[in-house]
Amino acid sequence: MDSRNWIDRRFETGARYLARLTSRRSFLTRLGTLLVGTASIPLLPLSRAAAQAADTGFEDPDIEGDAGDPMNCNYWRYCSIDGFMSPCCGGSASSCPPGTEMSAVTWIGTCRNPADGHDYLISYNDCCGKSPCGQCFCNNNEDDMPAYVTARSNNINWCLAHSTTAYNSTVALVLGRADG
Amino acid sequence: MTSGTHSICTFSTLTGLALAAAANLCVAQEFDSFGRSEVLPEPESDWAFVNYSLVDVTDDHFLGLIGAAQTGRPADIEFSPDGTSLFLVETFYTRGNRGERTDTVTIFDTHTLGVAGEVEIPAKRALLLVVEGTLALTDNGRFLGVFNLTPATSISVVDIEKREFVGEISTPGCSLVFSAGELSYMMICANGDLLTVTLDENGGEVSKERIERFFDPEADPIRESGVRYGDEWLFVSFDGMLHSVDVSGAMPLVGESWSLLNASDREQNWRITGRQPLAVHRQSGRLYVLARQNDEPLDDPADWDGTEIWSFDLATRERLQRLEARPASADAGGAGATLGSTSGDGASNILVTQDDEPLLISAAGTGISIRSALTGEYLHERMQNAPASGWLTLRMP
Repeated sequence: MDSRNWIDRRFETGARYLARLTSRRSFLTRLGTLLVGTASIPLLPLSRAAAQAADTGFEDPDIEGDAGDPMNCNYWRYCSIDGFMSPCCGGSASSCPPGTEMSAVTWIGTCRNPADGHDYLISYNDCCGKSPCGQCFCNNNEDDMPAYVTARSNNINWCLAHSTTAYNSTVALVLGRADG
Repeated sequence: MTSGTHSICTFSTLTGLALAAAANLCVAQEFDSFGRSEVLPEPESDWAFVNYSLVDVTDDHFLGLIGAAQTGRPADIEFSPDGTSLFLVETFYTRGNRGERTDTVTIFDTHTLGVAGEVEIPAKRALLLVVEGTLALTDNGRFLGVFNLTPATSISVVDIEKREFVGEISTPGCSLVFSAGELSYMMICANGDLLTVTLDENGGEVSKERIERFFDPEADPIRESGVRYGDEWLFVSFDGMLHSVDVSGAMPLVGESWSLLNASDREQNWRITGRQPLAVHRQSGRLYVLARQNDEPLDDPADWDGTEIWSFDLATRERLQRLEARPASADAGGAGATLGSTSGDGASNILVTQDDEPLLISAAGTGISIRSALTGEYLHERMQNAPASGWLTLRMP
């Protein structure tokens, strides 16, 4: 795939998104107080994600209930994703495809897991170093903010801190409970 | 090699059968010269870039292409005050999409569209989905500011006159860069402040000062895509509020915000949307905006086309027009079916030429439409010789 479209793809959206919008804003309102003060709060998950990705790979926490289908755009963790889903590209929801590197910095969203009804902080790390995967594009923007609120924006190429900024795909790491 | 002529008559008379035809063929054939490239004439007010393709929107004519590197996102295009140069920021890798990264401010000749020079800058420029705010030229035309994101935020300053990198200015918490006076830039901060960065005559940092709470990013954030109107910048919020800031003084002066949506619009769930949602015709003071209906507020309005284009008188705040965003003859956009598409049911980008009789340019994903900005009458429902869509920039801003 032509790498010049790596960002254009993110403008893509689908009719499915429209249906999903219902109640999203009210959900945000509930979580608004949690995320106020983004200058400090996201730093913890950002560094956690970086540290874990750099070590032995990220281990998902145990969450009871139906795990869902990570190759489906409706998968609960993808509520704020904007990119190609890593499981469709040779990786998994928490690991990058072979030959790519997980971005050390990223944007953070909050998604509700329907299996247990709890809200979780999700780190959307880009997989970097190869051209766009082109499979399973998924563009849910829940809680997305403009680019000047960098830690909460998916309108940024989060491969920015790597030696190559080529974007391949995106994972959705569960960092922990957002609702205590 | 120079061009020449050759008589076809000599060849034709070799056969009697050809005699009848020879009368028609017996013309002097001009030989083409080798190695010639077109040079653009003086620019016209109806020339516009669609991303990096330059088109004449009245004549529906493709004029040329800026050969920019494709390893990064198209950024703003800035023009020298005399109009002979344009500036882009580019990203290169020694091995295509990997290897050592080099970022440059690249200078193109506006007549040949060839590279006229480059200035290497720190390999930090922001690679964003948004175009507006990636690059800004101070109003004196001397210093180009490039927005960096690593994710630390800063500005790289380039002296256009000397064609050299001057230095980097750290701007913690503040992003995107806009022209804001003879020697100043303006940035938007994550907490809703505006940051003014002022340079000295050599491009060094003199001061950084904040205007507090230009908007509330938690309650109603502004879109990144502002539009310049004389000494003012206009930004629209997610909730349809128009914010203005006057940059003519030493410090920005925040104007009164007002709603582009009246009570009835709000009742009917109209929203301001699109990637490039605002355009201004300066002479008439008319603002054009993209709008659509959606039951719920949109998390990322840029992904959603406007289905209508509204115009307002900026002085009276009165809405003057409601136009369909694209002609009924336009193809269906194929919502989200292909890479790079938006919702596909309207227009994503708008621009207005600055003539006495301005033209409204709208990009709909399936084609560029040209119409009178005053009457809405179409000149081209769909341009045949232009890219289907893209970020729109006037050649003579």
